[in-house]
Amino acid sequence: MTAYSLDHVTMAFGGRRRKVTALESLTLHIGEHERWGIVGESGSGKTSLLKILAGLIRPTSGVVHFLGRDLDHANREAMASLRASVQMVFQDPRSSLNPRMRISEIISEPLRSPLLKGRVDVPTNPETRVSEVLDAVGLPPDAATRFPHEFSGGQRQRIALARALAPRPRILLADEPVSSLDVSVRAHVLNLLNSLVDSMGLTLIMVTHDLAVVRHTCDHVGVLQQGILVESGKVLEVMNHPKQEYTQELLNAVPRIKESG
Amino acid sequence: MKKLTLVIGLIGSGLVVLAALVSLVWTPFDPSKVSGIRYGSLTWPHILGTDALGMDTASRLMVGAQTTLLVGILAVAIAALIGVPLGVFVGMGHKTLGEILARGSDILYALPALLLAILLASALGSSVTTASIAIGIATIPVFQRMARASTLTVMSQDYILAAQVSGTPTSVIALRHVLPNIAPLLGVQAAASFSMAILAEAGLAYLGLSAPKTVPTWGRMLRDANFLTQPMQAVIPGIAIVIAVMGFNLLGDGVRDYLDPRLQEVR
Amino acid sequence: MSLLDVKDLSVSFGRHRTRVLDHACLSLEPGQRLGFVGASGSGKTVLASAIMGLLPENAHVEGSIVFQGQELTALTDRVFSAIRGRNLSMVFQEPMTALDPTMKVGRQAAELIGLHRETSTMATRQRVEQIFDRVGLDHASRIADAYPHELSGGQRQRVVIAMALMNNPAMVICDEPTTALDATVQAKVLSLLDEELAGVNAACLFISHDLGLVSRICTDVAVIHAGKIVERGSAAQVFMNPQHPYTAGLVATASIDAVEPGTRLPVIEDFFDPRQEQ
Repeated sequence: MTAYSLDHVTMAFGGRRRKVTALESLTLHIGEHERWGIVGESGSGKTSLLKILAGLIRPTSGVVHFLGRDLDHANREAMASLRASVQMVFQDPRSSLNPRMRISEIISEPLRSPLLKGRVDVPTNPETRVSEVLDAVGLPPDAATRFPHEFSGGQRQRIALARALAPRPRILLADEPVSSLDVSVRAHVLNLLNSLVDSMGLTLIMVTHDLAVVRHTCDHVGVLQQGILVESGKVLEVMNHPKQEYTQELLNAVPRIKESG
Repeated sequence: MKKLTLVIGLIGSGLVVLAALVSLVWTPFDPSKVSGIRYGSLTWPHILGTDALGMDTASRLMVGAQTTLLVGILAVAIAALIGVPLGVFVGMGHKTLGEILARGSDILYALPALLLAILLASALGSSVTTASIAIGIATIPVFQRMARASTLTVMSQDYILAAQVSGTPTSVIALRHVLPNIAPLLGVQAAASFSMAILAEAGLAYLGLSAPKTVPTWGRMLRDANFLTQPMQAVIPGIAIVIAVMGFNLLGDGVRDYLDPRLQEVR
Repeated sequence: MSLLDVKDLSVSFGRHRTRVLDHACLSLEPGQRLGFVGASGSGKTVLASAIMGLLPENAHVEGSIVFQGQELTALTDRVFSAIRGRNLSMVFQEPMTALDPTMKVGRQAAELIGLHRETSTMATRQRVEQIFDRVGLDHASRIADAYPHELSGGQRQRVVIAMALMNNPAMVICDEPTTALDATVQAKVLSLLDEELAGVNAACLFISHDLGLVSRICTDVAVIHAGKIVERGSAAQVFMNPQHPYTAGLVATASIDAVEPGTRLPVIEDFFDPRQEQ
C-alpha cells in the first residue's frame, strides 16, 4: 500500500504582489515501509513538503492521498487517520520540547489526543507506555519526572523520539533530526532511529541537507532544488549515478575526512 | 543582584499588605474620628501627626493601604481577564478578529484612564470601584498586546507543531502550552500594572474622581493636605505611594528572575 | 618564537569554580592552521574566548597566553581591543549575531579599517568593495549598502570572513564558522576561507566538532575532551593513526560513508569509556 501519493502538488505563499512558490508541481509516491530521504537546502521547499505530509498546511493545488484516502481538510476521516498514525521529530530539541512540562507529560501528550480513541492498538496505560518508550530510546525511567533543560542535546532528541513513538505511529516524519547535534552524538541518534524504524516497521520520511545521513538511513531519496523535485529514486542508484549536477554538488559537499591531510 | 531586587520588592509590597491586614483588626486611633488637635506634630501618640481635621494620619494611612490594594487587584483583574484571552486568541491565529481587535485596542490605548474615569464617574458616581474599573479598562490593551506578542513567540516553537501533528485540540494547546509559557511575562506585567493602577488611582483621588471624603485613601490624603503650611501631611502619603509602586514593580521583576527554570540552566 | 603560546591554561567559572579548561597547552607557528576538535561542552569555545579576551566576568583564569611575545591574560580591555581586529580576529558561528543589525555591512567593514589604520573615506570605501569582491560577493557595492538581514546566510558569513581578514591579521580564530550554513554553501565558504588564509598567510585556530570539516582546512589537529587536550599532532597522523582512544572514536564517528548503509554506526563509547578515564 502506498503511504503517501502526491500528484502535482504546488505550494505558494504570499499575496498577488509577492508570491513565493515553495513547491512546484511535485509528484511523488511513497510506499509503506519505505525510508525516504528528502534532500535540499534552505529555500528548497523541504519544510513545506513535510508540513503538507503532516497535514499542517494544505497545498495550493494538487492532490495528496494518504493511505489511499484523499487528504482534503474537509475530509475529516482522512485527517483523523493521518493524525492518529503520523508522528514527527524536529531539528532542534530545544524548541520541540515544552520547557515547562515534565518529560512524562511531554511523552504522553500524543497519547492524550482525542483522535486516538477509535484505534484499537493504542497503548491504554500512559504511564507504562512512557517507561516503555523511555527504555526503547535508552533513557533511565527516572527521566520521566525531570524537565527538558536537565538533558543534553542528544538526550533531548531521544526524548523527542520517544514522544513520537509513544502512540505507535505507522509513519515517522523527521525534520533534520541530527543536524543540530555533535558529530559524535549523531551516530547514537542515527543508530537508535534506524533500529526503531526497523523493529517497529515504520515508514520514514526524513528531510535533511546531509546526503551521507540519507545514504546510511534511507532506501529512497528525492532531491529538491528550489521547489522542484529534480531527482528521485533508489538511494544507491541516485548516489552512484547522479543525473543532476546539483545532486553531484550535494554529494561533494558531504564533509568527510580528507585522506591525505 | 537578582536577589536584591526580589528582597526590596518583597519588603515594599509586604509593608503595604501588612498595613492593610493589621488595619482590619487594629489601628492606633479610629481613622474617621477626630482624635487630636488639627495639624498635630509627629509626636506620641500621633506618631505621624494629625490632619486638617485632627484625625490620626497613621491610622488613615493603614486603612488607605486597603483601598490601594483593592484598586490594584480590581484593575489588574479586569485588564488581565479580558486582555489575556483576547491576546492569546489573536496570537493563535485569528486574523480578521485580530485586525478588528488591534484597531479597537488602539482606540482604547489613545483614550486616557482619566477621561474614562470622568465618564464613568459622571455615569455611576465617583467611588473607588468606578475608578478601579476605569483604570482596568484602560489597561486592557496593555495585557492584550503583551499576551499576543508572547503567544506569537510560543506558537513559533516546534512543540506546538508536535502537539498539532498529534491532533491536540487548539483549546488544549492554549491551556497546556501557551498559557504556562507566557505566564511569567504576564505576572511581571501584572505587577507593573498593579503599581501603575495604584499611581493612577492616587491621581484620580487627588482630582476627586475616586473615593468620597469619608473613605481614607492615599490620594485623597494628598489632596486634603496643605503642602505649604503642613508639608509632612503631604509627604507621608506620597512616600507610601512610592513604596507601594516600587515594591510591586520590583516584586514582579524579582519573581520572574527567580522562577524561570531556563535562567537556571547550567551551561 | 611561536606566534601563540598557551601554557597551562585553566579556566573555571562561578562560585563553585567549575573547571571547564584544565591545564591546556598549545602553540601555533606563524601561518600554521590548527583544528581544535571536541564535543559541545568540552571547553573548546572557552579556549577561543580566553585567547580573544572575551570571557565573562565570573571566569577565573590561570596560566598564560602569549601572543606575538605579549602576555594576553594580564592586558587591560583597552590594550586588548587594539590587538583584536588588527593582529587577532575571529569568525563566529552565527554571522547574524556577529554583525550589527542596524548598520550597513559596508560601514561596519569600513569602521574596522578606520579603527586600526588611518585612511581617507574614499580609499576606505574602495578597499571595502575590493575585499567584498575578493571573498566572492557579487555586486560588491550593492552588498556594502545592504543591512545584514538583507543578505543570505552564506553572504553574511562571507562578509564576516572578509572583515576578519581585512587588516591582515596574524591569526584568525574560527568558531564553528559553517554550522549555520547549507551543505553546498558550507563547502564554498570553507574553500574561500582556505584561500583567504593562504592569501594573507594568517595562522588559524579552527574550532569544530566535525573532523571532516577540520581536515579540509587544517594541517594540525588538537583534540579536547572534558577540558583536557588529549591528543595533538599533524592532521595526517591524528586521522590515520590516532593515539588516544577518544580520538579514535571521533575519527570513526565522523565517517558515516565508511559504514555499510543500514548497519550500526560506530559510537565514541566503542573506543573510549569516559568513566575509565577518571
